[in-house]
Amino acid sequence: MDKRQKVSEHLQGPDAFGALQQKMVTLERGKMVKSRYWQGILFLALVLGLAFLFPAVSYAQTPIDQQSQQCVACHQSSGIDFSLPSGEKVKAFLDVKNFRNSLHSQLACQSCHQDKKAFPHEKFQAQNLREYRAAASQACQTCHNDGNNSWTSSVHGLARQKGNVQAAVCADCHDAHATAPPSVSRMATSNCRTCHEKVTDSYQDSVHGKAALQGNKKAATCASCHSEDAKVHTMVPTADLVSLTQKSNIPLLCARCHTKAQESYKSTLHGRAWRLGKHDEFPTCIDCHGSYGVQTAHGAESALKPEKLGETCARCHTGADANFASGWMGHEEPSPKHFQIVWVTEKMFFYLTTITLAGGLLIVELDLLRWWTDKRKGNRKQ
Amino acid sequence: MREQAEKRQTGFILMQARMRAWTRPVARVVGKLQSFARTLARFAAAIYVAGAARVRSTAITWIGLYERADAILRFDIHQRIQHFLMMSSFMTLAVTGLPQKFFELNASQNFISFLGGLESVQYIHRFAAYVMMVSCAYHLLYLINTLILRKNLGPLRMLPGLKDITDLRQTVLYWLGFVDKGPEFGRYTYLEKFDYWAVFWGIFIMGGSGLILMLPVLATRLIPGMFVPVAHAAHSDEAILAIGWIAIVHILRAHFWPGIFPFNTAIFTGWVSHKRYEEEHPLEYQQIMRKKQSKRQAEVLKAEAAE
Repeated sequence: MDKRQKVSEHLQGPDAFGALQQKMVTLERGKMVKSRYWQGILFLALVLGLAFLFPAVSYAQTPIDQQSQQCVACHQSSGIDFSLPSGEKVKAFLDVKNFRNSLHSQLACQSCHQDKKAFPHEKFQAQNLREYRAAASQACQTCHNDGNNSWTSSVHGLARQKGNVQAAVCADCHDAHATAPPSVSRMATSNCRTCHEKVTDSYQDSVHGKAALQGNKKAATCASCHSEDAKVHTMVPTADLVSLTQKSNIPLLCARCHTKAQESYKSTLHGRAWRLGKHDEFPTCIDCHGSYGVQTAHGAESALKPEKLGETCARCHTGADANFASGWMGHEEPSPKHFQIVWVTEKMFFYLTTITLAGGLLIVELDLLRWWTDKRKGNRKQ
Repeated sequence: MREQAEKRQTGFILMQARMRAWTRPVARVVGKLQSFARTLARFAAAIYVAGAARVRSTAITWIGLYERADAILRFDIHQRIQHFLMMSSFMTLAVTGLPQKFFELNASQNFISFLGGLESVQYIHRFAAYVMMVSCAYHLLYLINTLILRKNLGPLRMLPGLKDITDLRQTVLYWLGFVDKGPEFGRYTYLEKFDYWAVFWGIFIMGGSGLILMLPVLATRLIPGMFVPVAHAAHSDEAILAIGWIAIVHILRAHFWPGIFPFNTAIFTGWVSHKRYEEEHPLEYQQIMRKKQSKRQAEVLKAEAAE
């Protein structure tokens, strides 16, 4: 497996949603692959040039330099874990096999572990695991500094800036020694779940979660709703006005996949309240269908089943019962099969209005014509 | 010297500012009282200048308590107030209701946000609906009072009759040129009757469905839930019928008509000139004139008897 293939596979990530988003992501991916491609060529040229100069390095067939091999000599054996002042343990064991297959296999140990130049190593300043991970993640910035698209401007980075030490840093989600491409199963079952346990659990039971974990690449993952381009590093806080998870943007968010449903939502009274800006009182998709644990309308666990619909309506319409809920037409226009009485009323009023207004117009027109004819003939004074 | 003077001046300005800070709230209240008193004085002066008698006579003209030689009182003060309430509330309802129906247009979205969002538009809409209901109740009470208590059967002339059909037949023949003359109308023409009964039917449809839409939870305690979407369909479609009829037929035929344009003063002042009355409602005009003549004759006879 050569490196370029690996890089492009790594970049693929969770699949994009919606035509527009797909387009955006492909464009961006194209740009990135291109730049990485040139970086790769430069790197190769450098390595080849060095290889001619120093045959000993190329002989090793492994990019880890001599000093790193010294590191590996100790760290490949297990049982050298150390503990922090807080009592938490940090693993010092390196799985060399995994590391060789990782994207960082070309890097020397000291390019990240810059404070480990001497032996015995300097003592850690971190008091607990959170501080240790934050300090370890500082090293990532050396190479992975993508400007606006970086972790720094994402919801986690912003929370960290505000002083929330629990906010996720690089090392919380990525294992630097076994960098694997992000996947939905990693997000839903381990990475995001570490902190956001409640919502990821209900996500796993939702239609989105079930489909995604079964390998459906079109199903929504955490990042596909929480960020503009389905990437974890561009996730924004929900309170942010541009955030798609912000209340007034929810119908737009869901419409990235469920285009038809949004069209019919707009024509309902709920959708009108959203379109016409009733402050915070309009129901969006998630108010009826559920957000993390979203279910299909007719699914077994759905809150929109006829038996449960009354309770769901009563969340906003205080005192609503099953009889009230029976008047909800869903996302469907009335037709002879669906809510016939409404369809009949609409048709009746359509013909009544058309005939009455046509008759009225005829009366006015004829009357005016007569008046004009009379005036022209001189039968009338006015 | 100069410095001292400057210092004194600054001190004076500072003192003034401090005093103003104390007196300002008091001055504000006093100023408001003053302006109120001034307004009152102006009203009193206006009434004095115009003459109390003249003000009274204007009021009497509007209420229709005296007779005019050049015109006949067609609508009494109650009918005019009812029409005014109905007209103003109808226009408000149309203006605030149409953007809610055609919510997808940019214009309606802009208009609604100009009025402060859907909430305030609904607030205005409902307020206008209450005004319309009040005018409807006023009209029904007026009918009861006139028909039952005062035993005046005048309003019954609004009921449709056989004459309306023959009138319509003759009108159509006249329009098409088969007859030389149109029909002679009584108190109300068939079109005026249609206008009245359309409002009568419309106000119950619109008011009923509007109440269902306003209080859906309460309404579904009494009626099946299916009637809520039915009420929505009825409310939104009947509104188009009403607005269309008013805009095309009523406004054109009753107001924007040759000889009447720009608007029919009869329903606002109550008075119609003899000439127009005779032309528009000849049968009723003859009746009125006959009644007036007999009244005058009776007065003359009375006077003679007294002599």
